[in-house]
Amino acid sequence: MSFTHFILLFKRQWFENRKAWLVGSAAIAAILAFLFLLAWQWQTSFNGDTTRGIFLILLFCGGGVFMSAILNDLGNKQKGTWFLVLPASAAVKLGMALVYGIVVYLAAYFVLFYSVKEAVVTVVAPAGSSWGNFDLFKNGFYQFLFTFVGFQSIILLGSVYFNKSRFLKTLLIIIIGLFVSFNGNSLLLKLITGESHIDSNIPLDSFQFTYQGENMYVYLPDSAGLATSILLWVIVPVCLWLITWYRLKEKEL
Amino acid sequence: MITIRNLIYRYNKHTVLFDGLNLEMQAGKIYGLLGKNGAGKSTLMKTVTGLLFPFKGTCKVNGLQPFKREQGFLEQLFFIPEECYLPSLSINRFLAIYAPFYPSFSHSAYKEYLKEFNIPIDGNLHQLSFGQKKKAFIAFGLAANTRLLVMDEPTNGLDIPSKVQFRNIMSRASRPDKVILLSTHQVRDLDDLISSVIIMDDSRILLHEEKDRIMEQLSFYNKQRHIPQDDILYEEQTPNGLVAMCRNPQHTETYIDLEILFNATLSNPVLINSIFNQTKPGK
Repeated sequence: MSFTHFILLFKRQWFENRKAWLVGSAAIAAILAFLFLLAWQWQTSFNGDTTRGIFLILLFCGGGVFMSAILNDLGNKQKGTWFLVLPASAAVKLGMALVYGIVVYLAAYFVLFYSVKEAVVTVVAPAGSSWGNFDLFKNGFYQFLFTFVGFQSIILLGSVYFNKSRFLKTLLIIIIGLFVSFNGNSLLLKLITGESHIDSNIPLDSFQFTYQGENMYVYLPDSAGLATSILLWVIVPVCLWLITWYRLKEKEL
Repeated sequence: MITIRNLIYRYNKHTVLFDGLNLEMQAGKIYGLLGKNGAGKSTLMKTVTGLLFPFKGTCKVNGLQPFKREQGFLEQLFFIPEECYLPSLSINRFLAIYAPFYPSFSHSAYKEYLKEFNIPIDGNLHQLSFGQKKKAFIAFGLAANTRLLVMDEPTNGLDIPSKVQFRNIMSRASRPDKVILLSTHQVRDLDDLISSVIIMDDSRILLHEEKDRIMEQLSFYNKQRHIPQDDILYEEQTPNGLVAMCRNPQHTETYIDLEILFNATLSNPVLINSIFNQTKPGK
């Protein structure tokens, strides 16, 4: 993998897309401000931590759109030809897309999120108010960042795999995948435990059922939890990158 | 330099395009790939440039397999498709971003080509017309100094003065270690440039000969003069009168009419090939 070519591709991506990205950043900032104001206005109507909710909505929506656009050239014959014959290996091209779609987006999003949140809190919330507090590391909230890496990896694979309507098709597959895994997991748990009242479950994490009118929670043991975390946060994204690399190498136009 | 052996290419399970194609191209030459629409020219070019993968058989360029799209291969390849893409950047910015990808890129040559094409170096690519964009892209491709230059219909979209400029520039582009492969429908645009002719039809190569050998074996006449009927291989009515392609036992040098050669080859490939096979060096 050539670092020089990575830098060249990185510069190319920036100079060719910076105007669109600046407009996109302004749009994200505007939506964040709107959502913060909405949450402030109806703060008594929302349960839970709305700041975290707002953080997640635009992290995933904006990030998905951004990632799916990085290899947008592949959806167009002329642009795709130019991109594929550009002297850099598939690994370097993939590396560039991952750095932009995960590292650069996260960095830019954090800057936007904190800036807009601080601006809105300064303007609307009274001094000393705790409204709008946001701690990424409280209650393991940072774990969503690992989920984000996995999500972006799926979006990138979809953008290389599909030729048309790539983002929508990938989103549809993610939704179907989530539906099948949650319902399949519930069915599997009912079969394994013989318990017919499983109310909720998180695959490879926990489930909850009702026993004699009481809610019972079952969690994986710590060692198994660690193994599933490594599987979902490390092994799955790396496998997705390998598949994307292979698809990019095999891409024909 | 380019070696294609028993190449099989399929669109899908049922549609075979190339079924055992063989072809060899040497460095230092400009190959003109001629063929009707759907003859397989673009697929062949895309296979050579690594944009399409052979189903079976091999295609090698300087010993490398194009489908692997290795960096070393791509650094020595420049492909100019019929409709090329150029980003919305200034020419200087475009140069700064893309020239470093090509180790032998010549900035001075690029400026010279742009000047010859009458394109301002400080202009913006998005402000150029289709023809100007194509010329800017061709100039970049030539300045990249790659060992393989592939051009699909390079003169499409160029006006008449630009075609003259293109021919002038291309005549200086040949190098002993470089293969240039051009495909065209407009044979008259390029007939002075090419040193070797490849005629394709129905996914097969009907003729692959050096222009020197074609000139040695065939002659082309306006049929006002008397030509023995036995020597006539093909004749065609053109706006300038009846043109005949004949055997050339005296090796008289005449202008090669590529359109007539193309039509003659398509109408009777066996006969045309037999002329060259009978007289292959060493036979």
